[in-house]
Amino acid sequence: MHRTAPTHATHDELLLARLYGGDVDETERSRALDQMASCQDCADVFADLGAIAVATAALPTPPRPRDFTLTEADAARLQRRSIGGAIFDWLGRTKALGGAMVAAGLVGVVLVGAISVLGPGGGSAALDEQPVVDAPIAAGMSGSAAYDSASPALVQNGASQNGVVGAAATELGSPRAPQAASGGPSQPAGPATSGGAPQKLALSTEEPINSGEPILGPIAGGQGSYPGGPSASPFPSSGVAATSAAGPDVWELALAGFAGLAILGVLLLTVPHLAARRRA
Amino acid sequence: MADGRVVTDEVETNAGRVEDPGQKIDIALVGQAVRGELAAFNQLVVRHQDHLFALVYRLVPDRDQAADAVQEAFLSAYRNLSSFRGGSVKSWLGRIAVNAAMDIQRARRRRPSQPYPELEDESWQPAAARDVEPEHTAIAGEQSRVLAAALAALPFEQRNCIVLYDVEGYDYGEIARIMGVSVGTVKSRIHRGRLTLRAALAPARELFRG
Repeated sequence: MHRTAPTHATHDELLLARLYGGDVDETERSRALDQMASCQDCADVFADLGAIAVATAALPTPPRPRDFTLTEADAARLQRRSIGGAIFDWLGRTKALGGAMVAAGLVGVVLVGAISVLGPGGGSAALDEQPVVDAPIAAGMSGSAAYDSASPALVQNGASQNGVVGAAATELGSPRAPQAASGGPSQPAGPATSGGAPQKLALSTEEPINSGEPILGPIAGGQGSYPGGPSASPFPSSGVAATSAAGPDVWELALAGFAGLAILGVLLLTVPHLAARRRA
Repeated sequence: MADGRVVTDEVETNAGRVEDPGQKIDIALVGQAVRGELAAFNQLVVRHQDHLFALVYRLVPDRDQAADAVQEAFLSAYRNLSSFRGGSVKSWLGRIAVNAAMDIQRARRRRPSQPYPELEDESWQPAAARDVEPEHTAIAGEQSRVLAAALAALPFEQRNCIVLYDVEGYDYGEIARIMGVSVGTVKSRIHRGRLTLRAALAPARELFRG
Protein backbone atom coordinates (compact mmCIF):
# COMPACT_ATOMS: atom_id res chain seq x y z
CA MET A 1 0.00 0.00 0.00
CA HIS A 2 1.30 3.37 -0.93
CA ARG A 3 1.28 5.60 2.11
CA THR A 4 1.90 8.86 0.34
CA ALA A 5 0.69 11.59 2.60
CA PRO A 6 -0.94 14.57 0.94
CA THR A 7 1.24 16.74 3.09
CA HIS A 8 4.60 15.44 1.87
CA ALA A 9 5.36 18.83 0.36
CA THR A 10 5.42 20.21 3.86
CA HIS A 11 7.77 17.52 5.17
CA ASP A 12 11.35 18.36 5.92
CA GLU A 13 13.54 16.50 3.43
CA LEU A 14 16.66 18.11 4.85
CA LEU A 15 15.87 16.38 8.12
CA LEU A 16 15.92 13.07 6.26
CA ALA A 17 19.25 13.93 4.67
CA ARG A 18 20.59 14.82 8.08
CA LEU A 19 19.27 11.54 9.46
CA TYR A 20 21.10 9.70 6.70
CA GLY A 21 24.28 11.63 7.53
CA GLY A 22 23.93 10.82 11.23
CA ASP A 23 23.61 14.52 12.00
CA VAL A 24 20.50 14.51 14.22
CA ASP A 25 19.83 14.46 17.92
CA GLU A 26 17.36 12.07 19.54
CA THR A 27 14.35 14.35 19.13
CA GLU A 28 15.07 14.97 15.47
CA ARG A 29 15.74 11.30 14.91
CA SER A 30 12.36 10.25 16.26
CA ARG A 31 10.66 13.02 14.29
CA ALA A 32 12.38 11.87 11.09
CA LEU A 33 11.46 8.24 11.75
CA ASP A 34 7.84 9.23 12.40
CA GLN A 35 7.86 11.20 9.19
CA MET A 36 9.11 8.18 7.23
CA ALA A 37 6.65 5.85 8.90
CA SER A 38 3.71 8.00 7.95
CA CYS A 39 4.82 9.14 4.50
CA GLN A 40 5.96 6.83 1.71
CA ASP A 41 7.55 9.69 -0.19
CA CYS A 42 9.73 10.47 2.81
CA ALA A 43 10.73 6.82 3.03
CA ASP A 44 11.61 6.91 -0.67
CA VAL A 45 13.73 10.01 -0.19
CA PHE A 46 15.69 8.27 2.55
CA ALA A 47 16.15 5.13 0.45
CA ASP A 48 17.24 7.18 -2.58
CA LEU A 49 19.80 9.05 -0.54
CA GLY A 50 21.33 5.76 0.53
CA ALA A 51 21.33 4.36 -2.99
CA ILE A 52 22.93 7.50 -4.41
CA ALA A 53 25.64 7.50 -1.75
CA VAL A 54 26.47 3.87 -2.49
CA ALA A 55 26.52 4.49 -6.23
CA THR A 56 28.72 7.56 -5.75
CA ALA A 57 31.28 5.56 -3.82
CA ALA A 58 31.26 2.92 -6.56
CA LEU A 59 31.72 5.30 -9.48
CA PRO A 60 34.41 4.02 -11.82
CA THR A 61 37.41 6.18 -12.48
CA PRO A 62 39.30 6.46 -15.72
CA PRO A 63 42.74 4.90 -15.93
CA ARG A 64 45.55 7.18 -14.89
CA PRO A 65 46.69 8.91 -18.08
CA ARG A 66 50.37 9.08 -17.19
CA ASP A 67 52.98 8.32 -14.62
CA PHE A 68 53.50 11.07 -12.06
CA THR A 69 56.95 10.13 -10.81
CA LEU A 70 59.46 12.94 -10.71
CA THR A 71 62.60 12.97 -12.83
CA GLU A 72 66.01 14.21 -11.71
CA ALA A 73 65.37 17.25 -13.87
CA ASP A 74 62.08 17.93 -12.02
CA ALA A 75 63.85 17.67 -8.69
CA ALA A 76 66.64 20.01 -9.81
CA ARG A 77 64.07 22.46 -11.15
CA LEU A 78 62.22 22.37 -7.84
CA GLN A 79 65.44 23.06 -5.96
CA ARG A 80 66.08 26.12 -8.12
CA ARG A 81 62.50 27.10 -7.81
CA SER A 82 62.61 26.97 -4.06
CA ILE A 83 65.23 29.74 -4.11
CA GLY A 84 63.04 31.65 -6.54
CA GLY A 85 60.09 30.90 -4.32
CA ALA A 86 61.87 32.47 -1.38
CA ILE A 87 62.48 35.59 -3.44
CA PHE A 88 58.85 35.66 -4.53
CA ASP A 89 57.78 35.23 -0.93
CA TRP A 90 59.97 38.16 0.04
CA LEU A 91 58.54 40.22 -2.78
CA GLY A 92 55.08 39.28 -1.70
CA ARG A 93 55.77 40.45 1.82
CA THR A 94 57.40 43.62 0.46
CA LYS A 95 54.30 44.30 -1.57
CA ALA A 96 52.07 43.94 1.47
CA LEU A 97 54.38 46.09 3.55
CA GLY A 98 54.56 48.74 0.83
CA GLY A 99 50.80 48.81 0.51
CA ALA A 100 50.39 49.18 4.24
CA MET A 101 52.94 51.98 4.35
CA VAL A 102 51.25 53.88 1.55
CA ALA A 103 47.88 53.52 3.23
CA ALA A 104 49.19 54.54 6.66
CA GLY A 105 51.12 57.46 5.18
CA LEU A 106 48.16 58.81 3.27
CA VAL A 107 45.83 58.44 6.23
CA GLY A 108 48.40 60.17 8.41
CA VAL A 109 48.82 63.04 5.97
CA VAL A 110 45.08 63.56 5.76
CA LEU A 111 44.60 63.37 9.53
CA VAL A 112 47.50 65.64 10.36
CA GLY A 113 46.39 68.07 7.70
CA ALA A 114 42.85 68.09 9.01
CA ILE A 115 43.90 68.45 12.64
CA SER A 116 46.36 71.22 11.91
CA VAL A 117 43.68 73.19 10.08
CA LEU A 118 40.55 72.41 12.10
CA GLY A 119 41.61 70.94 15.42
CA PRO A 120 41.39 72.87 18.70
CA GLY A 121 45.07 72.46 19.42
CA GLY A 122 46.09 72.64 15.83
CA GLY A 123 48.88 74.83 14.64
CA SER A 124 46.96 77.35 12.61
CA ALA A 125 44.08 77.44 15.09
CA ALA A 126 46.50 78.29 17.86
CA LEU A 127 48.08 80.92 15.73
CA ASP A 128 44.73 82.41 14.85
CA GLU A 129 43.58 82.49 18.43
CA GLN A 130 46.46 83.93 20.35
CA PRO A 131 46.99 87.22 18.55
CA VAL A 132 43.34 88.13 19.00
CA VAL A 133 43.67 88.02 22.77
CA ASP A 134 46.99 89.72 22.69
CA ALA A 135 45.87 92.43 20.35
CA PRO A 136 44.62 94.79 23.04
CA ILE A 137 47.88 94.53 24.91
CA ALA A 138 49.86 95.12 21.85
CA ALA A 139 47.75 98.14 21.18
CA GLY A 140 48.19 99.41 24.70
CA MET A 141 44.63 98.56 25.69
CA SER A 142 43.82 97.78 29.27
CA GLY A 143 43.69 94.15 30.24
CA SER A 144 40.21 94.41 31.70
CA ALA A 145 38.92 96.02 28.60
CA ALA A 146 40.10 93.06 26.68
CA TYR A 147 38.41 90.65 29.08
CA ASP A 148 35.27 92.70 29.37
CA SER A 149 34.86 92.75 25.71
CA ALA A 150 34.53 88.99 25.72
CA SER A 151 31.10 89.22 27.35
CA PRO A 152 28.28 91.27 25.97
CA ALA A 153 27.06 91.99 29.51
CA LEU A 154 30.46 93.20 30.46
CA VAL A 155 30.61 95.34 27.44
CA GLN A 156 27.63 97.22 28.71
CA ASN A 157 28.78 97.36 32.31
CA GLY A 158 32.31 98.22 31.66
CA ALA A 159 31.83 100.50 28.76
CA SER A 160 31.19 103.48 30.88
CA GLN A 161 34.45 103.17 32.68
CA ASN A 162 36.81 101.78 30.15
CA GLY A 163 35.31 103.15 27.04
CA VAL A 164 37.47 101.12 24.82
CA VAL A 165 35.60 97.92 24.41
CA GLY A 166 33.85 98.41 21.14
CA ALA A 167 36.61 97.43 18.86
CA ALA A 168 37.85 94.63 21.06
CA ALA A 169 34.34 93.22 21.53
CA THR A 170 33.84 93.14 17.85
CA GLU A 171 37.20 91.62 17.40
CA LEU A 172 36.60 88.89 19.93
CA GLY A 173 34.12 87.02 17.90
CA SER A 174 36.60 84.23 18.32
CA PRO A 175 36.05 80.76 19.75
CA ARG A 176 37.00 82.12 23.12
CA ALA A 177 34.09 84.56 23.34
CA PRO A 178 31.37 82.03 24.21
CA GLN A 179 33.50 80.67 26.99
CA ALA A 180 33.95 84.13 28.40
CA ALA A 181 30.28 84.84 28.10
CA SER A 182 29.35 81.76 30.05
CA GLY A 183 31.85 82.64 32.68
CA GLY A 184 30.08 85.87 33.41
CA PRO A 185 31.82 89.09 34.42
CA SER A 186 35.48 89.39 34.01
CA GLN A 187 38.13 89.57 36.61
CA PRO A 188 40.39 92.51 36.92
CA ALA A 189 43.51 91.79 35.05
CA GLY A 190 45.80 92.79 37.81
CA PRO A 191 45.59 89.83 40.18
CA ALA A 192 45.94 87.35 37.42
CA THR A 193 49.22 85.60 37.80
CA SER A 194 49.30 82.41 35.92
CA GLY A 195 47.56 80.15 33.49
CA GLY A 196 46.10 80.77 30.10
CA ALA A 197 43.61 83.42 29.26
CA PRO A 198 40.55 81.13 29.14
CA GLN A 199 40.96 80.16 32.78
CA LYS A 200 41.21 83.79 33.81
CA LEU A 201 37.97 84.53 32.06
CA ALA A 202 36.01 81.99 34.06
CA LEU A 203 35.20 84.06 37.11
CA SER A 204 32.56 84.16 39.77
CA THR A 205 29.51 86.27 39.04
CA GLU A 206 29.42 87.33 42.70
CA GLU A 207 32.32 89.65 42.20
CA PRO A 208 31.26 93.19 41.75
CA ILE A 209 31.79 94.57 38.37
CA ASN A 210 33.20 98.02 38.15
CA SER A 211 32.64 98.73 41.80
CA GLY A 212 34.04 102.16 41.32
CA GLU A 213 37.65 101.38 41.46
CA PRO A 214 39.59 101.33 38.36
CA ILE A 215 39.88 97.75 37.24
CA LEU A 216 43.04 98.39 35.44
CA GLY A 217 45.89 96.46 36.80
CA PRO A 218 49.53 97.21 36.63
CA ILE A 219 49.43 96.87 32.90
CA ALA A 220 47.01 99.73 32.48
CA GLY A 221 48.00 101.80 29.55
CA GLY A 222 50.17 99.04 28.37
CA GLN A 223 52.99 100.29 30.46
CA GLY A 224 52.74 98.26 33.63
CA SER A 225 53.99 94.89 34.60
CA TYR A 226 52.41 91.91 36.33
CA PRO A 227 53.01 91.33 39.99
CA GLY A 228 54.46 87.97 39.40
CA GLY A 229 56.95 89.36 37.00
CA PRO A 230 57.21 88.91 33.30
CA SER A 231 56.90 85.17 33.54
CA ALA A 232 53.53 85.44 35.29
CA SER A 233 51.96 87.49 32.59
CA PRO A 234 48.79 85.94 31.18
CA PHE A 235 49.87 87.07 27.75
CA PRO A 236 53.52 86.33 27.60
CA SER A 237 54.83 87.47 24.33
CA SER A 238 57.33 84.67 24.53
CA GLY A 239 54.40 82.23 24.83
CA VAL A 240 52.96 83.42 21.59
CA ALA A 241 56.29 83.07 19.98
CA ALA A 242 56.67 79.58 21.41
CA THR A 243 53.27 78.56 20.11
CA SER A 244 53.90 79.85 16.67
CA ALA A 245 57.40 78.46 16.57
CA ALA A 246 56.94 75.00 18.16
CA GLY A 247 53.37 74.19 17.04
CA PRO A 248 53.80 74.32 13.30
CA ASP A 249 57.10 72.52 13.57
CA VAL A 250 55.43 69.52 15.17
CA TRP A 251 52.67 69.42 12.59
CA GLU A 252 55.05 69.97 9.75
CA LEU A 253 57.31 67.24 11.05
CA ALA A 254 54.39 64.86 11.40
CA LEU A 255 53.17 65.78 7.95
CA ALA A 256 56.61 65.23 6.48
CA GLY A 257 56.94 61.93 8.34
CA PHE A 258 53.69 60.55 7.01
CA ALA A 259 54.42 61.80 3.52
CA GLY A 260 57.82 60.13 3.69
CA LEU A 261 56.17 56.91 4.83
CA ALA A 262 53.81 56.99 1.88
CA ILE A 263 56.63 57.71 -0.55
CA LEU A 264 58.70 54.87 0.90
CA GLY A 265 55.71 52.58 0.50
CA VAL A 266 55.31 53.59 -3.13
CA LEU A 267 59.00 52.83 -3.70
CA LEU A 268 58.62 49.42 -2.06
CA LEU A 269 55.68 48.70 -4.29
CA THR A 270 57.22 49.86 -7.54
CA VAL A 271 60.96 49.25 -7.38
CA PRO A 272 60.91 45.44 -7.19
CA HIS A 273 58.31 45.37 -9.96
CA LEU A 274 60.36 47.68 -12.18
CA ALA A 275 63.53 45.71 -11.44
CA ALA A 276 61.78 42.48 -12.37
CA ARG A 277 60.55 44.01 -15.61
CA ARG A 278 64.02 45.26 -16.42
CA ARG A 279 65.45 41.80 -15.78
CA ALA A 280 62.75 40.29 -17.96
CA MET B 1 70.62 20.46 6.43
CA ALA B 2 69.79 20.85 10.11
CA ASP B 3 66.10 21.45 9.56
CA GLY B 4 65.85 18.40 7.33
CA ARG B 5 67.57 16.30 10.01
CA VAL B 6 65.06 17.40 12.63
CA VAL B 7 62.17 16.64 10.33
CA THR B 8 63.63 13.24 9.47
CA ASP B 9 64.05 12.36 13.12
CA GLU B 10 60.51 13.43 13.83
CA VAL B 11 59.15 11.45 10.89
CA GLU B 12 61.07 8.35 11.91
CA THR B 13 59.91 8.68 15.50
CA ASN B 14 56.35 8.84 14.25
CA ALA B 15 56.98 5.78 12.06
CA GLY B 16 57.87 3.82 15.17
CA ARG B 17 54.47 4.58 16.70
CA VAL B 18 52.44 3.63 13.63
CA GLU B 19 50.74 0.22 13.52
CA ASP B 20 49.59 0.08 9.90
CA PRO B 21 52.42 -1.47 7.82
CA GLY B 22 51.49 0.52 4.74
CA GLN B 23 51.66 3.72 6.71
CA LYS B 24 54.99 2.66 8.21
CA ILE B 25 56.41 2.23 4.74
CA ASP B 26 55.04 5.63 3.73
CA ILE B 27 56.60 7.37 6.70
CA ALA B 28 59.93 5.68 6.16
CA LEU B 29 59.86 6.77 2.51
CA VAL B 30 59.09 10.33 3.53
CA GLY B 31 62.07 10.24 5.88
CA GLN B 32 64.36 9.11 3.07
CA ALA B 33 62.90 11.67 0.68
CA VAL B 34 63.53 14.44 3.19
CA ARG B 35 67.18 13.37 3.16
CA GLY B 36 67.16 13.98 -0.59
CA GLU B 37 66.49 10.53 -2.00
CA LEU B 38 64.36 11.13 -5.05
CA ALA B 39 63.87 7.39 -5.56
CA ALA B 40 62.16 7.17 -2.18
CA PHE B 41 59.83 9.99 -3.08
CA ASN B 42 59.03 8.30 -6.37
CA GLN B 43 58.10 5.14 -4.52
CA LEU B 44 55.59 7.24 -2.62
CA VAL B 45 54.28 8.54 -5.92
CA VAL B 46 53.87 5.03 -7.27
CA ARG B 47 52.05 3.93 -4.14
CA HIS B 48 49.53 6.78 -4.20
CA GLN B 49 49.16 8.07 -7.72
CA ASP B 50 46.18 5.88 -8.64
CA HIS B 51 44.27 6.82 -5.56
CA LEU B 52 45.07 10.51 -5.92
CA PHE B 53 44.09 10.55 -9.56
CA ALA B 54 40.78 8.85 -8.75
CA LEU B 55 40.15 11.38 -6.00
CA VAL B 56 41.02 14.42 -8.08
CA TYR B 57 39.10 13.13 -11.08
CA ARG B 58 35.96 13.08 -8.92
CA LEU B 59 36.54 16.70 -8.04
CA VAL B 60 37.67 17.87 -11.47
CA PRO B 61 35.98 15.53 -13.94
CA ASP B 62 38.33 16.38 -16.78
CA ARG B 63 41.11 13.86 -17.27
CA ASP B 64 43.75 16.33 -18.42
CA GLN B 65 43.03 18.86 -15.71
CA ALA B 66 42.86 16.14 -13.10
CA ALA B 67 46.24 14.83 -14.25
CA ASP B 68 47.69 18.34 -14.08
CA ALA B 69 46.33 18.74 -10.58
CA VAL B 70 47.82 15.44 -9.45
CA GLN B 71 51.20 16.30 -10.96
CA GLU B 72 51.09 19.68 -9.26
CA ALA B 73 50.17 17.98 -5.99
CA PHE B 74 53.21 15.69 -6.15
CA LEU B 75 55.49 18.60 -7.05
CA SER B 76 54.07 20.56 -4.14
CA ALA B 77 54.52 17.59 -1.82
CA TYR B 78 58.15 17.27 -2.87
CA ARG B 79 58.74 20.97 -2.29
CA ASN B 80 57.09 20.80 1.11
CA LEU B 81 58.35 17.49 2.43
CA SER B 82 59.73 19.27 5.45
CA SER B 83 56.23 20.39 6.40
CA PHE B 84 55.09 16.79 6.94
CA ARG B 85 54.73 16.29 10.68
CA GLY B 86 53.68 12.67 10.90
CA GLY B 87 50.26 11.09 10.69
CA SER B 88 48.87 9.55 7.54
CA VAL B 89 50.91 10.23 4.41
CA LYS B 90 47.88 9.26 2.36
CA SER B 91 45.79 11.94 4.04
CA TRP B 92 48.59 14.48 3.73
CA LEU B 93 48.91 13.83 0.01
CA GLY B 94 45.12 13.82 -0.28
CA ARG B 95 44.91 17.26 1.27
CA ILE B 96 47.54 18.60 -1.11
CA ALA B 97 45.73 17.04 -4.07
CA VAL B 98 42.36 18.42 -2.99
CA ASN B 99 43.89 21.87 -2.69
CA ALA B 100 45.35 21.56 -6.18
CA ALA B 101 41.96 20.44 -7.46
CA MET B 102 40.26 23.37 -5.75
CA ASP B 103 42.72 25.75 -7.40
CA ILE B 104 41.64 24.35 -10.74
CA GLN B 105 37.98 24.58 -9.79
CA ARG B 106 38.38 28.23 -8.84
CA ALA B 107 40.20 29.00 -12.07
CA ARG B 108 37.48 27.16 -13.93
CA ARG B 109 34.81 29.22 -12.22
CA ARG B 110 36.62 32.40 -13.27
CA ARG B 111 36.90 31.16 -16.86
CA PRO B 112 33.82 29.04 -17.53
CA SER B 113 34.23 26.57 -20.35
CA GLN B 114 32.51 23.48 -21.64
CA PRO B 115 32.04 21.49 -18.46
CA TYR B 116 33.60 18.09 -18.25
CA PRO B 117 33.82 16.61 -21.73
CA GLU B 118 35.11 13.43 -20.11
CA LEU B 119 31.58 12.50 -19.13
CA GLU B 120 30.79 11.82 -22.75
CA ASP B 121 33.85 9.66 -23.21
CA GLU B 122 33.05 6.10 -22.20
CA SER B 123 36.22 4.59 -23.58
CA TRP B 124 37.68 4.44 -20.09
CA GLN B 125 34.76 2.57 -18.54
CA PRO B 126 36.10 -0.53 -16.83
CA ALA B 127 35.60 -3.78 -18.66
CA ALA B 128 32.76 -5.89 -17.36
CA ALA B 129 33.50 -9.15 -15.65
CA ARG B 130 32.85 -12.21 -17.79
CA ASP B 131 30.12 -13.63 -15.56
CA VAL B 132 28.10 -10.43 -15.34
CA GLU B 133 24.91 -10.13 -17.34
CA PRO B 134 25.26 -7.69 -20.26
CA GLU B 135 22.02 -6.03 -19.18
CA HIS B 136 23.37 -5.46 -15.72
CA THR B 137 26.56 -4.02 -17.19
CA ALA B 138 24.56 -1.67 -19.36
CA ILE B 139 22.49 -0.50 -16.41
CA ALA B 140 25.57 0.03 -14.27
CA GLY B 141 27.21 2.01 -17.07
CA GLU B 142 24.15 4.19 -17.50
CA GLN B 143 23.87 4.66 -13.76
CA SER B 144 27.49 5.80 -13.56
CA ARG B 145 27.07 8.14 -16.50
CA VAL B 146 24.01 9.95 -15.13
CA LEU B 147 25.39 10.03 -11.63
CA ALA B 148 28.73 11.45 -12.79
CA ALA B 149 26.89 14.08 -14.80
CA ALA B 150 24.72 15.02 -11.81
CA LEU B 151 27.75 15.11 -9.54
CA ALA B 152 29.64 17.31 -11.97
CA ALA B 153 26.70 19.71 -12.11
CA LEU B 154 26.76 20.27 -8.35
CA PRO B 155 28.39 23.42 -7.00
CA PHE B 156 31.98 22.39 -6.44
CA GLU B 157 31.83 23.08 -2.71
CA GLN B 158 29.05 20.51 -2.36
CA ARG B 159 30.71 18.10 -4.76
CA ASN B 160 34.01 18.23 -2.89
CA CYS B 161 32.33 17.49 0.42
CA ILE B 162 30.29 14.61 -0.96
CA VAL B 163 33.28 13.04 -2.71
CA LEU B 164 35.52 13.39 0.32
CA TYR B 165 32.86 11.95 2.60
CA ASP B 166 31.19 9.27 0.50
CA VAL B 167 34.09 8.23 -1.73
CA GLU B 168 37.20 8.97 0.29
CA GLY B 169 35.76 8.27 3.69
CA TYR B 170 37.07 11.40 5.40
CA ASP B 171 35.13 12.44 8.48
CA TYR B 172 33.42 15.80 8.83
CA GLY B 173 36.28 17.31 10.81
CA GLU B 174 38.94 16.33 8.27
CA ILE B 175 36.86 17.71 5.42
CA ALA B 176 36.36 20.94 7.33
CA ARG B 177 40.12 21.29 7.77
CA ILE B 178 40.81 20.55 4.11
CA MET B 179 38.14 22.91 2.85
CA GLY B 180 38.87 25.61 5.41
CA VAL B 181 35.25 25.82 6.62
CA SER B 182 33.37 24.83 9.74
CA VAL B 183 32.11 21.31 10.42
CA GLY B 184 28.55 22.62 10.32
CA THR B 185 29.15 24.01 6.85
CA VAL B 186 30.54 20.67 5.69
CA LYS B 187 27.51 18.81 7.02
CA SER B 188 25.14 21.28 5.45
CA ARG B 189 26.91 21.01 2.09
CA ILE B 190 26.76 17.23 2.18
CA HIS B 191 23.08 17.06 3.13
CA ARG B 192 22.00 19.68 0.64
CA GLY B 193 24.27 18.25 -2.04
CA ARG B 194 22.69 14.80 -1.64
CA LEU B 195 19.21 16.25 -1.94
CA THR B 196 20.28 18.20 -5.02
CA LEU B 197 21.74 15.03 -6.52
CA ARG B 198 18.51 13.19 -5.87
CA ALA B 199 16.50 15.91 -7.55
CA ALA B 200 18.86 15.90 -10.54
CA LEU B 201 18.58 12.13 -10.82
CA ALA B 202 14.77 12.12 -10.62
CA PRO B 203 14.29 11.20 -14.31
CA ALA B 204 16.62 8.21 -13.88
CA ARG B 205 15.46 7.25 -10.42
CA GLU B 206 14.59 3.69 -11.39
CA LEU B 207 18.24 3.04 -12.21
CA PHE B 208 19.08 3.47 -8.56
CA ARG B 209 16.13 1.65 -7.05
CA GLY B 210 17.30 -1.69 -8.40
